[in-house]
Amino acid sequence: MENLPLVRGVEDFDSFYRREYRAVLGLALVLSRNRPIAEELTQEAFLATFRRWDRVGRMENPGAWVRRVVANRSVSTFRRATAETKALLRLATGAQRRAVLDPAESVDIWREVRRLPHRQAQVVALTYLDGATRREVAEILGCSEETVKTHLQRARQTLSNRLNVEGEHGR
Amino acid sequence: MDVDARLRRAALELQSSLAEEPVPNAAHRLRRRWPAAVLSAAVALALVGGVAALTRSGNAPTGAATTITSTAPATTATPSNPSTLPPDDSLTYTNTHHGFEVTYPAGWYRAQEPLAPALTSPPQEVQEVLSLATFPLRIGQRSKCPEVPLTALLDMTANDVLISVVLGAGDGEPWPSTFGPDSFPDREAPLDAETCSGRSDLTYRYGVFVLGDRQVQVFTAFGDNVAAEVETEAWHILDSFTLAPAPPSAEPATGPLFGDDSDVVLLFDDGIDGVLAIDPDTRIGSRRVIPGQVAGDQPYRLTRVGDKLVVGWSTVYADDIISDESTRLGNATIYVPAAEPDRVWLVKWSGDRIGQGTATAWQVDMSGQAITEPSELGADGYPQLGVPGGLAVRTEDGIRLWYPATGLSDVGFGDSLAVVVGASEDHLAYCPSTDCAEMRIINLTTQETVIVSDETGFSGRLFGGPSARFSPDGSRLAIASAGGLVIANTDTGSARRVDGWPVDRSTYVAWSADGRRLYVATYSYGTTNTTIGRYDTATGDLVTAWLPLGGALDFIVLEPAEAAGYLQDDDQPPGACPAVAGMPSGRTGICGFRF
Repeated sequence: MENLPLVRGVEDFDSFYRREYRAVLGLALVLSRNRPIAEELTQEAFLATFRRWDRVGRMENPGAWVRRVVANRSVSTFRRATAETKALLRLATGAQRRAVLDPAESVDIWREVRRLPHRQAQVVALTYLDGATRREVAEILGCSEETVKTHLQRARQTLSNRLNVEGEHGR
Repeated sequence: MDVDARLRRAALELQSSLAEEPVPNAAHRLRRRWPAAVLSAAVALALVGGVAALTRSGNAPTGAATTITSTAPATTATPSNPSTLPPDDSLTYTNTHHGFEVTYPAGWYRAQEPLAPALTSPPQEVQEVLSLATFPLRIGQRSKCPEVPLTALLDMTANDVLISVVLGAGDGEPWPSTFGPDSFPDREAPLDAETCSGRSDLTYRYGVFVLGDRQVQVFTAFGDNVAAEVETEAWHILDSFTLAPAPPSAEPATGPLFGDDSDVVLLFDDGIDGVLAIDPDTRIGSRRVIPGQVAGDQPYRLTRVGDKLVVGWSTVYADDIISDESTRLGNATIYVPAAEPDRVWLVKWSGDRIGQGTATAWQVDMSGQAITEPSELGADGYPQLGVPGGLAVRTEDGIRLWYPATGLSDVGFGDSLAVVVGASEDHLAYCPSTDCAEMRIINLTTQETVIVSDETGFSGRLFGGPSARFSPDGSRLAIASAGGLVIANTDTGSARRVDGWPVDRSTYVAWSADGRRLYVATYSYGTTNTTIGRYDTATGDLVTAWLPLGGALDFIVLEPAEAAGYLQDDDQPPGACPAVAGMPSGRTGICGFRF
């Protein structure tokens, strides 16, 4: 990611935030399950982005940067614990709970995605939820397209077995 | 429908619901909106029971340390009671668990108590993260690994309160703010020379309080084989907690601490490698090292099993209360108290760190003899406490029961944030979510659940570790929290509040053997005094007393005869015993005093 070309003019961070917030929150929700944690992780990711905005803002794809941050943080035990603590501090003292948008309750498949190895889960979430191409996923996660392909195949196979549905190959 | 189609449909559903989602203000913008107040920073400490070890300069731990210094004295954020400021400007915060210290050159505040007069606020809500700053640290001296900036500055406004410092080792991501889990720096998380990556399981730490309007400089002095990062956070937190310290009771200068004989000795975990023993009747106290006990095992837990104290992590020991003979129970990442008398569970993760790799659990007796075969826990479970025949395990799906033969139960209590706070032979007390806004007691036999709720006098908030204990006969559950001290009926959930106990401090509770008296003590790790209380459940009398010594965590109640080995009458003041600082403490043997 450090090698991404710095070719853009610096976009206003606020507009970047407003444009990307929902997608990044969705990614965090899928990978972390819990709504308050996902919100914390999302805010953290945008804060991290904001702090480096003079650099990230000039990247070709700042959205990839913030997605990478949230994807990594969402599957990190430490980060999740940190976000959990923050979320709980917020909730514990009476902050209003909003309706929980919990994909695990309505869609079992995200629950199975979260059970996958972290990299596979990230690849699946970015591919399906974010609609990222294999190249984009590779760019976001900082790995090769071949690796993305392998992860995706293995993830589909595992999901297929666990969900007891017909297997399928490639995309 | 195949997997691909199901994923697409699920993604569409989620995207559809997200489209309705309002976009909140970005955290970085909130900073400018908040009203001036430097109030409840210490709430966080009260809430989570963080380890705050504030000691005088000169008690610095040995070995590698991270030092955080304030460079600009405050001029505007002065507490309302200046007399509560430390008498000199040179204080050091020593985090013995993570091996770093923070030096306070000027204008810093010392602990919960001195902050208290400035921290009483009307009921309000936690707002948001006010300011979050992440500081990259030096990544060793390895030539292949890049150096990152050594220092960073955090500019704090008058409205900022710095309350935490997080240390963690990096996982080699190309920017320093994303790093991986799973080991403590002080457990020597190695840095891979080829990839410049490392792993750390450092957890979130509270305990540093800096009132705003100053600049904080953060820098590190890690060893050359640890990739690390310091993250400081400034929060603006308003809450309804009253943080005034417990008023010292009018204690007699001599004679029994509680006015009459209690006929007990209180044995406190000191958080390092020993115990603090207090005889309230004779006013004799001692500090003693326990063989096999080491710092770093959390939650703080003093576990008595039969005639033994079970201590340690990585290698677990049983220390005979009477003879002090130490028996090695086995190599395990942690131990977990069992429901069965004379046994504990040993839990080992394949990575030898909590949560890292596959977890295996087995039960041993106090000779180290395995009672059950090692069995895999399954899922990403974190065992909390023993239940008859098994363990209550925290999982993504809530608290689930695990048994060696059958594995994890299908049904969980609560969600991924649920936490077990107590267990007896047939009951389990848990909070459905970690905020403990509600506590439930489930009868493991009948599966009947009762709720200990606000309506019955319980206000929740049990942050700070295992601060709930069932009475010896299991009929009552004593719950101590920042919200007060209550006793709940195990079968009905009906609770009554114990008036007179300070509603502000993390607290531990322990029952007398006959279940009549409840002892309660404030969390005083790293401080110089402890408030303790004795509540008589038969008469409703609560007697509180103030001890001029700190360093107390979870505790148990022993009979004086049992505790003889822990007490030594040296007829000297408490201060004559070396302060508890550093890891290990360097202490040996026993040091007695009178108080």
